[in-house]
Amino acid sequence: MNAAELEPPIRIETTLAPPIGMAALGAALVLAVIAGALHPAIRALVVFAVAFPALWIVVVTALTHSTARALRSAGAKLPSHMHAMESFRLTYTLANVGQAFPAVGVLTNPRFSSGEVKLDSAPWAALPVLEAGRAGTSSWDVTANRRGVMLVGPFRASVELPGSAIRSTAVFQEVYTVNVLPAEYHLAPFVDTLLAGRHVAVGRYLKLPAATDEYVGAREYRPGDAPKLIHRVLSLRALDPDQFYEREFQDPSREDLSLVLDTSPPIDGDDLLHRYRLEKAICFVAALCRMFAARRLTVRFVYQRAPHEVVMLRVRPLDSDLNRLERELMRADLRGNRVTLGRVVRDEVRRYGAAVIFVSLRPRELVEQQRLAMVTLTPDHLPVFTREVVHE
Amino acid sequence: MKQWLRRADPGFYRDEPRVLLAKAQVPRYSLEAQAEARLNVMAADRTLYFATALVALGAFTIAICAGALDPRTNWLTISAFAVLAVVAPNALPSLSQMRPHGAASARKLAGVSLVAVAVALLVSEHLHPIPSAVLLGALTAGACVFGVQAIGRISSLHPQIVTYLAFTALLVVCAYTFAFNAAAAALRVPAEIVALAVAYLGICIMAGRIRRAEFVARPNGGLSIPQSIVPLLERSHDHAVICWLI
Repeated sequence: MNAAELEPPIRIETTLAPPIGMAALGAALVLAVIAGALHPAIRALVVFAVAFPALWIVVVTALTHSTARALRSAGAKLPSHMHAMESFRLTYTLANVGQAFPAVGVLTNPRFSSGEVKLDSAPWAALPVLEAGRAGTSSWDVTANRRGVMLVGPFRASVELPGSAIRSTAVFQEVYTVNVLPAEYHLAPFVDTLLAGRHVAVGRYLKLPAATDEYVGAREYRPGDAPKLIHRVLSLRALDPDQFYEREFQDPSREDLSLVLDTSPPIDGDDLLHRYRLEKAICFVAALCRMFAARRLTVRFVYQRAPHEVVMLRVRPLDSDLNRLERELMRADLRGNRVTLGRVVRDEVRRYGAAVIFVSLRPRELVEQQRLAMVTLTPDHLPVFTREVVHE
Repeated sequence: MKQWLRRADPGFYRDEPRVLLAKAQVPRYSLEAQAEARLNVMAADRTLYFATALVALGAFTIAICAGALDPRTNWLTISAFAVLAVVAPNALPSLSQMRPHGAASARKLAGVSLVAVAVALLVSEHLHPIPSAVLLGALTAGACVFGVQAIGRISSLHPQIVTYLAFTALLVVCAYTFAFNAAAAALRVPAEIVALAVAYLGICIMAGRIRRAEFVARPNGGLSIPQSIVPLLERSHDHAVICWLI
């Protein structure tokens, strides 16, 4: 172990043993001394009777305190990000830099906080014996159900030798951050019916690709396709001599469809139900974007992050874009408003026409939304397309 | 359309109201549950039982001045401490069983104390009235059980208090001997020092076993106040963070 990498505790918290026990013991000691002082013939017995418990408690108490001060933190291992409803293994390593005595019966305990939720009473993991100059590791399995930023720490290590008058707890101030991303959903296979007639790239008006288009793959030849775009190598390899393959091109600077998430707070006062629907909608949006990315579609994701802040993200079929989307969804909350949302939806429909998917938090579409050429997913629709939550 | 949705995902419509109504819940591992688990571990620990018996035997030896007390003239002292020495090691296991089987455990304790009183009667020169002997045994056993129950309630939050109270009890016995039987005690000082050392060793072992019970009876799961928002289809835990021991 490198001593420079070990963190000392920022403070030692001392908890006294129950006063009633110590008071009773003190009174009994005094009583024994008084009773035995009048009889010199049994002085040796009196001295032994009084000295042993007093010495034992003093020595053990001093050892408890010095052991706690000799503890050092060698750090914790945990992931920097995870998905909600998943588990990870948290390990925390403690070292004993004392010279002579081992640390016996060390209990370690982490603290978790996620938003306003704080878990101070996580289970104590025990290190039975931590020899001088050695390190020991405690492990926990942690499941995070709530998306957001979870803080792990500070860590505490408690020592209380049998008979000690105090319990010494060393507090280590390290705090680690874990980004808990939205839970991963599996979507039902027929979810791509949402794309029926919505894909912006359906149908090409120009036979030949423009300079900005990129090759994205090959498909079977359809009557009317440009002969210049036939994929010669694939067509020669085809078993059927009459079968041809056509090269596909796509403009990478243009999104294929738009996905709008409703984050406006409820107007009917049922905040709990609305929040529940928001959580479902967020997980569904993340799963939908992953599914679109698997189909090599580029999505323009739009939502209102704050009353005067509309966020637009371009989610290409890349891990970096998907990760950025999940980190953004991790912080999404009910901070939008209906007016801005309506304007955003109209703008998107004006740009993308029918290739707009609006994920709403209300059970029924509004009248003005019904007139727009987009698909609206209400909370009643989401369970139809959702198959299961992914978690080990 | 809604009828079709209800048929397609009945679980969604059945469980969603329950999830939304989930408010704060009582943690699974409360302090009382931990204390109960700790008491059961301690009651089943044979090493703790023998350590307590060592302490009781040492205290009894000191109380009778290592045999220097005349049993015929000091019948009261010897019989009372005999009852305590027999009942004390059995009190903790009986305490843990008292809750579900109160009457049976009380009868067992009463029987043990009567046996101790009967043995003391046999070595006594004077024929004391049997009712007074039975009353003495019952009072002593009752005091011991009451004391153990009181200790049990306190030790549920602070297990190590048992160590301090064991020291206290031993010192009280010593003080009693020093005050009332010093002359007899002076005849067998080395033997009494040995008995006291054995008793202190027993207390040290008791302290270690109680600490072990604290480790064994730790909860293996920690729960937070639930977030009451659970994504669709996963409803096994309505909690934001769950931490488990490995």
